[in-house]
Amino acid sequence: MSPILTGRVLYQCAKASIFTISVAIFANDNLFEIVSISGKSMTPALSPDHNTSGTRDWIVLRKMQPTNNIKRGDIVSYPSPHNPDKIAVKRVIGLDGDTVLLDQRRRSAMPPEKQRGWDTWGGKCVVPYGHLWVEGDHWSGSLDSNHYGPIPKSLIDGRALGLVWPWSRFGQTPWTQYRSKTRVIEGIAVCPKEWEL
Amino acid sequence: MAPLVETFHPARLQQHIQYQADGKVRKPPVDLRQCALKELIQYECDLRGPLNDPKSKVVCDPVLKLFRKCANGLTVETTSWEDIHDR
Amino acid sequence: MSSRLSYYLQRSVRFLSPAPPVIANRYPRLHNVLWVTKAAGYALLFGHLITTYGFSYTGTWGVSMLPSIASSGDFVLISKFYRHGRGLEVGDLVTYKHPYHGDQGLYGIKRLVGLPGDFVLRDSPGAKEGVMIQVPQGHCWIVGDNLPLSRDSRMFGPIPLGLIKGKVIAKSQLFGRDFKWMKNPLQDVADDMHDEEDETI
Repeated sequence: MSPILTGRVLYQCAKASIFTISVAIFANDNLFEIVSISGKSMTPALSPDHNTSGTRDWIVLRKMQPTNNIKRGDIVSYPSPHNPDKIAVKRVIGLDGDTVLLDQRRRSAMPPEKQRGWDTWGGKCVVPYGHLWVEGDHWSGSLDSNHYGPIPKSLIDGRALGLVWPWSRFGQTPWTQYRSKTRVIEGIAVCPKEWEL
Repeated sequence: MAPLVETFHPARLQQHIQYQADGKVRKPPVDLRQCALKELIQYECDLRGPLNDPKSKVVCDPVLKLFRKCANGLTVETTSWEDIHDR
Repeated sequence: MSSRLSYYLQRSVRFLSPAPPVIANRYPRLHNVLWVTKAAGYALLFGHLITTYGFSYTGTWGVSMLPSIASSGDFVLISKFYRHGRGLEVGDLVTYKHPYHGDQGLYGIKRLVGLPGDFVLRDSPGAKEGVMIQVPQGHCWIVGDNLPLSRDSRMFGPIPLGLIKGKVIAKSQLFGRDFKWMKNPLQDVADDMHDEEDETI
C-alpha cells in the first residue's frame, strides 16, 4: 500500500476513534452511565452472588437531573465521601425534612472509632434541606450516611434505571421490592431562611 | 451537612492533632511547635459611603490567620493557639 | 493468501476514505445544513470535554470573595484537573457545587482552608472563643475571603470533596484584559514575626 494511502487510512481511523470516544464520554457524563456493582453493600438486591461466584451486576444510571422527583427507595450514585474517585451506589432512605431513626444493628458492624461518631447522632437524624440519607441494603460492610451523615443532593450524579447484566435479569429493577428496615418519620423540607436564593 | 464533628478548645489542639481523620492515631506523634509557621490573609470588607453612590469605596481590613504545616501534609489553623501555647 | 489480504485491505481503505462529494454538488442547501449540524455537534462534544476535564472561563458576581475577586465584572479561569480535590492545597481558590442549591445549578468560589484531617477554626478569628474542629475524611473546609459577608463552611459545615469542581488559577476582566494569575497566598511568616514567637515569657 502506498504511504499516502496508509496515511489517509490512519487519519480516518484516528478521526473515527476520537469521535466515538468523545461521544461515549459525553453520553456517559450527561445521559446514561453503566456501572458494575462490586462489593456487598447492596446485596441481596444487587450483586447477590458477589461473595460466592464473583459475578457482578451491571446497572444503567440516568445522569440527567438525577435528583428530580427523587423518591425513598431509589438507588443513586455519587462520588464516595471517603474516596471521591470511587462511585458509591446506595439506596435513598430519607428525603430532606425526614427524621431517620438510626439502625442499631448497623452500629455493631462498625470499627470502634466510627461507633463513637455514630453515637454523636443520638439515635436519630433530621435530614437537612437539600440533603438525603442514603444506606447500603446490607447492614454490615456498607459505608453510607451512617458513617458520613446526610449527603447533599448536589453530590448525586446518577439514579439507577435498571439492570443491564446479567442478561437473564435485563431491564429489571430488583431493588424496588426491597423495603429497608431503617425507620423513617416523613417530614417536609423547608429551606432555611439564611439559604434562600 | 456531613458527619457531626465535635468541637474543642484550642488549648487541647496538641492532643487532637495526634488523630487522623479516620480516627486512627498518627505515628510518629506530631509536635505542633516543630511545624512550619505560615500565614494567610483574609479580609473584613466594608463600604465607605452610601450604597448607590458611585464614589463609595470598598475598604478591606486584613485579618491574619496563622497555620502550621507539618511534614506529613497536615495543616493546622493555629490562629487561636499561637497566643496560648506557651503557657 | 496475500491477494486475500490485499482485497480486504482495499475494501477497508475504500470504506474509510472520504466519500465523493455528491451531496455538496447536487444539494448545496442540504449540504450546508448538514455541515452546520455537524459543526454544532462537534462543538458540543469537544466543548463538554474541554470544560469538564480541562479548563473553563466564567463570569463571577458576589461580595464574598472581596478583595480577591470583584463583586461583579471579574472572569475566572478554572482548571478542572483539580476536581474532587486532587492536588489541592490549603490556600487555593476552589469552585464547588453548592451543598444546598447545587442540584439547581448553583456554583460558588471560596478559599480552601482545610483538607481531610486538617484542623480549622469553626468561626472567624476572635469570635466565640476560637473553637476548633477537625475536617472529616473525604471533606474540606472552605471560607470566603470577605469574612463578614461570606456564607461558607462556617455556616454549612465541611463539604464532601466530590462537590469540588476545580481550582481558580487566574482572573481577568472581559476578553482577558488585566489578566492575573491567582497564586496561593499561604506563605511563610515574615522573619520579624517569627522571632517574636520564639521569645519565652
